[in-house]
Amino acid sequence: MPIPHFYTLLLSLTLLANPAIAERCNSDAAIAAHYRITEKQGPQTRQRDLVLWRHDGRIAHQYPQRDITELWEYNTAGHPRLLRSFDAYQRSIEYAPNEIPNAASADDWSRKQQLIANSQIAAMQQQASRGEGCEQRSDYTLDENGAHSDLQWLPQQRLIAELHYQRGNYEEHWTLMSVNRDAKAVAAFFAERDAFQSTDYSDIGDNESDPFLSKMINLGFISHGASGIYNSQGQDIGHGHNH
Amino acid sequence: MNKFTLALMTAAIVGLTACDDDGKNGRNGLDGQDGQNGQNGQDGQNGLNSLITQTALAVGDSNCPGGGTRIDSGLDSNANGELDSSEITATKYLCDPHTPDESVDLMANTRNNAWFQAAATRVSNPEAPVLTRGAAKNVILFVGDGMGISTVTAARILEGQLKGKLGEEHNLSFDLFPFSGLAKTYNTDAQTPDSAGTMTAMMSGVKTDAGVIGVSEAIERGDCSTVAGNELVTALELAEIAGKSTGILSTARITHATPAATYAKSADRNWEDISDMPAAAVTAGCEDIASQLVNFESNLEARISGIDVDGIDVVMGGGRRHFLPKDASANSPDALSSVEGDRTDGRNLVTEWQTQYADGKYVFDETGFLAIDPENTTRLFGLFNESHMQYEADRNNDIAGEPSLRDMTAKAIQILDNNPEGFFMMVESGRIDHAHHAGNAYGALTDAIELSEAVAKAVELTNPEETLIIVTADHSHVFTIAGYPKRGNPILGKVVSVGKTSPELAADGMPYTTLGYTNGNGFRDLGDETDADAGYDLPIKTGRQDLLFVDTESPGYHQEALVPLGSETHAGEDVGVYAKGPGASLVSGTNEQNLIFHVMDYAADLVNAANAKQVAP
Repeated sequence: MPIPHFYTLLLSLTLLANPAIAERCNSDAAIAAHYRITEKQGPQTRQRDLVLWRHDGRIAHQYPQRDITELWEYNTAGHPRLLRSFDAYQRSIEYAPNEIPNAASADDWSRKQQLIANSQIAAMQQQASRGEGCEQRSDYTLDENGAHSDLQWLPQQRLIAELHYQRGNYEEHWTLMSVNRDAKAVAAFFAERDAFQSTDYSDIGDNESDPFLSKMINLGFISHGASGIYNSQGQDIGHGHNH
Repeated sequence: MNKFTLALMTAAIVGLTACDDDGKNGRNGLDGQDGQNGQNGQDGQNGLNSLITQTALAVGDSNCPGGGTRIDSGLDSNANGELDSSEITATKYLCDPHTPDESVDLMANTRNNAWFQAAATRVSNPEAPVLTRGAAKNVILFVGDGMGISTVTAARILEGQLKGKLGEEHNLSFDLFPFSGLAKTYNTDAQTPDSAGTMTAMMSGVKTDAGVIGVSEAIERGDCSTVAGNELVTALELAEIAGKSTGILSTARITHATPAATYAKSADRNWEDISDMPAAAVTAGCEDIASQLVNFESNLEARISGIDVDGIDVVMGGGRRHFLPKDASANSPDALSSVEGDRTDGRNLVTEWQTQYADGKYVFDETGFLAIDPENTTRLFGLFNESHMQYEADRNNDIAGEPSLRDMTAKAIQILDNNPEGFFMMVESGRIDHAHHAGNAYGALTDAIELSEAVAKAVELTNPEETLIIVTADHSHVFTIAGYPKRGNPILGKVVSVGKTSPELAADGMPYTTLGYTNGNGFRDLGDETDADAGYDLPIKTGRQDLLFVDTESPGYHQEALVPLGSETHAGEDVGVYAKGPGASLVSGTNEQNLIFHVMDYAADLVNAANAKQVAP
């Protein structure tokens, strides 16, 4: 079944109220942006969280309800490299640098970095822009294939402020709940996961007696659909493997 | 039988008698008158009939090949009117003229057949076994990790087809070795084995548990305290003690199970560096595998008193992460990760090795490798990748470049053979296994072909009269060659039957490939992707797929699988063992895998040679 899409709206107003933020308004600076995602399908409602982490050129997508974090970095050959941490087990799996051309593209990296690709923003119609510097906000809309999307975008911070998607009786709403710019805390988040016992994906098959890896072998690794973020083609935009 | 009887009469014989007296002899009286004639005697009995029989003989008779008549004669003793077989006293043959056929050539239709001639030539020139203990000065053990029989067959066909042949008739280099056998691979605790237990068996002569390195089955995996007292001595260690040069090559991390089993003792194959070990194991004094490699010389001398060794002379492979501290400043120029090293104890084992062996040369890329002059190098340490080296098919994509397995083999031999005492070397093609785990036959087969090339290089660079070369696998994979493809059908292709030009369709109406896996991640169509591991980042897709428009011969194609698993698994059937050189004829029949150690020991007399070098404390 085609998985629904975007988004709308509202900004967490407290976010940019602090003037100190302005001077730290560097899209490459350490950050933890906490999103709450609400899905409605008729009378049924479901909520989940996603935390976008950036630090020193690295990116992490944390899925707290699933105890999974995906950490991305470019290797020296210019290929994105994935470390998937299973936080509850304090274990991680290292993937081979993804050499598939699309995955190595700047557009794909922007999707990892912002949760929405530059090409996807460019495909939307800009409605208004207000504020300056860090506080600059731009509104975008898109009507496509019977679906309507609204995006509030923070271009200087390269963050989604609000996102709303509606198609028929399905709605999905993203809200930026909070932003943490404590560089030490962000660094600690990455360091904690870097310290997990990691295993090369290519070594999984030789570790059938490891209870964690055995479970992974038998159940398959959680990969596609982990983020729950999809574009209008039903592609998971929280991942880099849609090729 | 036709008989002709002739009867003959015989005459009777009459007997006569005379008289005499005993008085004085008087004068002779006058002749009396002639007496009267007596009566005729009685007639004698009838004589026996003499019979003759003639028997016609057909063409092909043993006495008359052209046919004729047999004449039997004799007396009719029982007067029954017939010449019974017991009455025959003479036999004559009257043969018709006959020109005998020329002798039949039983092999006329096969003698000139090329298959027949090739096999006959092979049989007529058997390799004479050399069974003199210690006749091998050098021993080289090649291990194709996961290179089961089906992998050898498919690799052979692929290489042949890449060379323009039909493929099936082609031979990998070690297919032509004169001696071969089968090895039973199970571990002492596992029906389907892993590399740690199997390589320990090959290197030490003792089967052991899965997942442990260089220790006997008395150990408990992961329990450091059970290592002491269960350590096994390996062929490499014996060679080292005996004064030979030693080398280890692998396309996997050099701390991975197979190479580790040549030099390390570990309760867990995954203790590749200290960050991989539980704190309790570190506290209890167990040493990680990378550290054991760098400390090999001192560790061996500490464990076995009265010996003086000089350490492993040539080490090449991947796995830099386990030798470097977790500190970006220690990164290699071609590091893959932002922080390449994993070690949490701050040690840089590369610099420790360089300090320990001032004459040694450390290289991390192909340029450095090519610059090594083997005739003026006594010790070489090459770590070409942060983790495993590249798949052979993907080698050109390496950041700084990596040498091929054949080039590493050649360079190592050229260094090791400078020792007049000879050498022991283990060469592992470690990524056949990984490509299979990823369900990518192309990657597995191209790595197996590269192993064959490395073996060929070893054959070329060594004296066959003094070098035992063994090629084998540690275990197999659930990899199959199936269907009824016609001769010469692309081994990576879809099944096209004999006499057909288009793919066969299965009962579901879809084409199917010759190669497949029983389990694993299943189908991926990644086109020109040469990194088999790239397929791991896709969801499992087992079961049948419509392959009609899929190029199954492309490097990035991953074969269909039946049972959905996150990683394709090892298989439990026997693996092939191929050997040439002194002692090679001991490789014969079906044996436990640990026999391989004993073959190497016999060939090079390793135990006795090592014992002779020990000096009583």
